[in-house]
Amino acid sequence: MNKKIINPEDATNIVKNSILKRRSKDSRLKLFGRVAIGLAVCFLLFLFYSIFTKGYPGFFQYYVTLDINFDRERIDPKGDLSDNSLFDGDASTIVNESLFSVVEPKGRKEKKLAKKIVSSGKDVRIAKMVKDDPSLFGTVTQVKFALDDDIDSFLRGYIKRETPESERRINDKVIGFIDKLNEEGRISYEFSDYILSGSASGNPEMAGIKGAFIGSILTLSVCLLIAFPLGVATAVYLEEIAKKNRITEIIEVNINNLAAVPSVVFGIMGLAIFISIFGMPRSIPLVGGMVLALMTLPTIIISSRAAIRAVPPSVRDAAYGIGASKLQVIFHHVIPLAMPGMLTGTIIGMAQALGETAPLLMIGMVAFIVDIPNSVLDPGTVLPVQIFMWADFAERMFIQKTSAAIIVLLGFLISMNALAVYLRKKLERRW
Amino acid sequence: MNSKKNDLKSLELTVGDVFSKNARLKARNVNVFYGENKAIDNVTIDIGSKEVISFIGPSGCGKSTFLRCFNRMNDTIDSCVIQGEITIDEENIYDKKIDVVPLRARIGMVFQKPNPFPKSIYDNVAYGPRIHGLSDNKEHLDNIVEEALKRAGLWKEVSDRLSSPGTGLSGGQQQRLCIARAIAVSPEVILMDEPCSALDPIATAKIEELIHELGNEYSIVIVTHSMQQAARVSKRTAYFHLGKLIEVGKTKEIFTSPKHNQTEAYISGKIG
Amino acid sequence: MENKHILSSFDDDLKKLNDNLLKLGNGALNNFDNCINNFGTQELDEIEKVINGDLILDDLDDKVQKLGFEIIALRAPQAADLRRIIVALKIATIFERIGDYSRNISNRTKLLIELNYSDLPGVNIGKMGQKTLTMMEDVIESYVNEDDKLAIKVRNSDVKIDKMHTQYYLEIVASMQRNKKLAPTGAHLLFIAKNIERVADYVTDIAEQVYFLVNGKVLSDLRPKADESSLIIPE
Repeated sequence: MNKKIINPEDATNIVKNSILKRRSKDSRLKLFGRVAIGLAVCFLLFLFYSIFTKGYPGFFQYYVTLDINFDRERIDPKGDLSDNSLFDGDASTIVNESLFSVVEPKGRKEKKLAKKIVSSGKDVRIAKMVKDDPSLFGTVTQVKFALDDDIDSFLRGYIKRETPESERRINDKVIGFIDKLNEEGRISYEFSDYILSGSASGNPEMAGIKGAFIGSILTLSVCLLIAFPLGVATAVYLEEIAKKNRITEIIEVNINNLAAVPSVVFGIMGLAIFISIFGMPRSIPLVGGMVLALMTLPTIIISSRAAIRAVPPSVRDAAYGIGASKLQVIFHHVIPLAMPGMLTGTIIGMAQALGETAPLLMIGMVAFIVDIPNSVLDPGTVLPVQIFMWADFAERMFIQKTSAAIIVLLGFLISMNALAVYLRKKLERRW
Repeated sequence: MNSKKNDLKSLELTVGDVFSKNARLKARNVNVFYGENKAIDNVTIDIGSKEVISFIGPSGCGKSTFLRCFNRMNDTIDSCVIQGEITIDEENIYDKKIDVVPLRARIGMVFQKPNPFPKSIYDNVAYGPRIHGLSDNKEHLDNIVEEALKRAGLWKEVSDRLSSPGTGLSGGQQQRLCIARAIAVSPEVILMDEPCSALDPIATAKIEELIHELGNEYSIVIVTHSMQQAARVSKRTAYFHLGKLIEVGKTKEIFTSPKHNQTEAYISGKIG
Repeated sequence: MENKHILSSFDDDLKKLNDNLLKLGNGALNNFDNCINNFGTQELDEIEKVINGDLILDDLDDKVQKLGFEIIALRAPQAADLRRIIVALKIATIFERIGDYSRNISNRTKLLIELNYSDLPGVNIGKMGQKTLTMMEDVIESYVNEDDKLAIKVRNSDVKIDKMHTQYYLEIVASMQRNKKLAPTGAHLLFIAKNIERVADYVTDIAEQVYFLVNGKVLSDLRPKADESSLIIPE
């Protein structure tokens, strides 16, 4: 049986017979691909749906409208609108009186219960109002106050009227007060003015993400300022300047390995080096940014090197051929051409850093910090850590707040990516 | 006449006139190694002033490697070692004192694939004069750019769109832009490494015509896979085989009656 | 050559080739003209000039052959360029041959002068020569202008020369039969007439080459022929 090349007609027949089989293989592959993509899209849609449906109410909360008598004597006893004077004032009592006049509680016990209906931030709110607009003094104005988180949960239907009183967080009396307020149309459901402008707070109805948001921006700025120049410089050195030998090979392998190191390890390293050895304070965005920079460096280096390697050698040849020095070749040609790729890598690194929790826990950025940080040296926290903390709290209202914070984090991420796409397009459009 | 009987193994010296009366570049006993590999074997040749000379030979014969010795482009390859002497106007270019940057301004290069910078046409041509500080002011630079583009035969086609990207030109125009870029730094020698291999016949013909004209002003060394191109543009032709320079001579003679049987075989398409 | 090549040096080469060819053609024409004239005037100095002038034609032919060879080797000409060069090489050889005939006629004229030659009855070499000369002028013009109609006209007029040759052949042989002393003169005259007839044939060949140059086709129909000198036995 000496097999030779088949003659053309037989070959044509064989091909014809096998074509159906091949076609069906093709279509099966296509089908698998589509199913996979479909599943991915479904999961993504489900994720977005669940986050948005849960998080959307987080941006809203229940308010009660009360008629407040802006009596200067009581609110601002010294009459100079200073913080001290306002603190000495008796704004809470004014609010309580106004509330009592509506719900008419009987006796001390009921009054105590009624007081709790309005969130504890009422005096701060009044102080802020008069500071912004002193002409309010002497008038009687309707002011909206956030309701306590339990009342909020009740109004949302999480706490049910049918539940026996002993098992409820609020008793029948309070429900009666709320019904009264409702009858007078004093309760409203509105966009929360705490979620975006408040910071960490033990009272869920007053908790906001501003502090964490600013903290994230500060931390990321530090991270970017350290990691980007360092990463690009390292990549340029390794690709363009360093000779290819054992040492550079070892460095290369180690950089690649670093990219795979769990992020918490960087946190431990940051704790050990920046805080223990250098004695830097805990919880500050500067240290957080430095730790995140360490974490994102490998990503930036690897993607920058890939971008540099993707610069066509012909451009280098052209520049060298005309007598450009190494530095000129790098700065005039290689870096500008590699910039879009470098930026992509950097943004991916930044996005990673933005979502990172573990290393920041290690350096204490998990602390409960009420003040909004003004600089990288003020203690602060970041969005993912805030989410992590809120998710841990017992109060029902924090569930919505957590989802709302996740939406903000996602928005932050998406806008960062959009910026990356925009920058890349803009830089690439330099033909 | 005896040389006809030489085969490659017994060949010690190159056949034909390796020397030139008014030589600008002189290569003497040049050997090039890539690691253990000997890419160029004891090549001696002169390149005359204002002369167009072409290097031909089968793929891997070392002609491009040898060309790149003249402006030290092989320096960028770590494993490449060069022995022997190459001089430009009696100055050894491999001397330790010689800086490659000014050398490459004296010996320009045009590459196989048109490789304009991703910048405007103007900036492409102006880049060399800018980095070498060849222009006193903007006006001078404008003049240099215009002159270089004119010499490269591109001025008429691009004078109204100097600020549009160089990469938007056609392949042939891009290659002429690269030639203009090389001319702009006023080189003495222009090395061309298969400058037309990526171009269509018409663009090729235009480049060849340009080379023909530029031959009156510069020494041009052109490496080409196309024997016809060598025949068309050059006054002298050098035939390389396996890293050795087999024969050098007037193009007319090489293509009508080569002296070495290797050259004969290559020219007539019997090896390659 | 209205369309220029992108490579101007190719045009330069072609022009050089053409110039040399025309120089050769005009030289051959001149020599032939002179030798026919000299046949009538019988001036020895002029005859010598023609004989020596042939060397120049040989040189020009060599030059054209070398140029054509080089152009083919270096430029790889195609289409009309290729035809032009092949035609030029062929025509150059023909002109050179015509030059050789002029020299041969001149040599024989020299001998005829020694033989005290005078025209034989019914034979007019000068007229035959002039007619051939006109054909040659026309064929050169047709080449320069790439005029294939003129070339065909030249080709067709060869018949007249053929007829003339047959007629002269018979007359000369008749004269030789009448007077045996005229045999040497007659023999040379026969050769001269034959040479002129050959020149006319060559001119016809050139005309065919011109046709090929212009049209890229070989004139395939049989050329009209009327030379019967090789077919008849004189009485």
